Amino acid sequence: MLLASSEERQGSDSALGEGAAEEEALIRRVQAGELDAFDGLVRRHLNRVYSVAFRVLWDRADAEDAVQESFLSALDHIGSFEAGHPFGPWVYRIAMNRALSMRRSRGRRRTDTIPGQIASSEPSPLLAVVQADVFAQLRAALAELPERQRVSFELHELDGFSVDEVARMFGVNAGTVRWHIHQARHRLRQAMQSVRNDAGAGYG
Amino acid sequence: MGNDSLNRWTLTAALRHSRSIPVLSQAEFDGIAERIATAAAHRLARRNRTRDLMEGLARWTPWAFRVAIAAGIVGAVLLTRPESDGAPEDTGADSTATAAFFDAVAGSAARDQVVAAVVGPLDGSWALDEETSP
Repeated sequence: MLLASSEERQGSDSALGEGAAEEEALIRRVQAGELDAFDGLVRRHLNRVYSVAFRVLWDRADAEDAVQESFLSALDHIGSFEAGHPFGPWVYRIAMNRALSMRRSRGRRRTDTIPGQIASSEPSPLLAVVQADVFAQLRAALAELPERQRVSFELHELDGFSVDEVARMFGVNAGTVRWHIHQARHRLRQAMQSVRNDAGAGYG
Repeated sequence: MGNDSLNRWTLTAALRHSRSIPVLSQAEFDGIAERIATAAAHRLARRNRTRDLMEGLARWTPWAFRVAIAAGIVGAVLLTRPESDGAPEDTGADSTATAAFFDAVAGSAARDQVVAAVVGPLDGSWALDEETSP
């Protein structure tokens, strides 16, 4: 099941770290042609690969396709993978490339039309309306960001990927990713501020 | 009221609320994993078939080379052999061997007599020349 918070994801990461030897054994078995071992690898990394694909594509069916193609591509090249290395960053990068490629071939951005998940637990109808405004503005602001800024920011801030992991996905250095995240945060704060001002005038 | 609530939110919290990835149910998770496993099984089977084929080729290639070389030799021999019209071949080798035999056994006079006896009836002028020669 997809983990909901970055804390849970990070906890999962440490668990994966403890299971590095187990993962290495799985990889060696996959390299020997054992399909069950491959299923174990898939289940171990499926949620995070799905996160990567979904952050780029914002479409469930497309993300599932990208996930499948990414794992199959990894299987195709597993023979050249060094079993002592962590499998995750490798397959995340494959997923990122696959998703970006699908997005380019799709030729349009869907973030503009992403339905927001406005599931407020607040009882106040007025607050719900305000939240809806805020979320809509945020989504619009996100849609305006360059793709790498947006995806880097979301993967790091919302999905719990480390800067280094995001950097490896894009094949850039960590400093570049930090700059992308900084820029994204700055622009979104500006957008948030304008929403606050509007909300203060309209609802306050 | 709304403004106060907004102030409590951090940017990340607001984004997390509005931009969280749809949670996969256990059934969806299993469905994706099984789909991948099925596709992987097909791919592995195809890869194994390809590997078997390549191994078979590698195993049989030396023999195939030997057979091809042998066939090439036989073919070359057959193709370079002159066509036979049924007549005995008059080769220089045969004449030389015959001359050597007579030279060794009976000398050139005996050779001439034998040749005259055999060829003479067919070529009288040659025999006449022999008889009239000094």
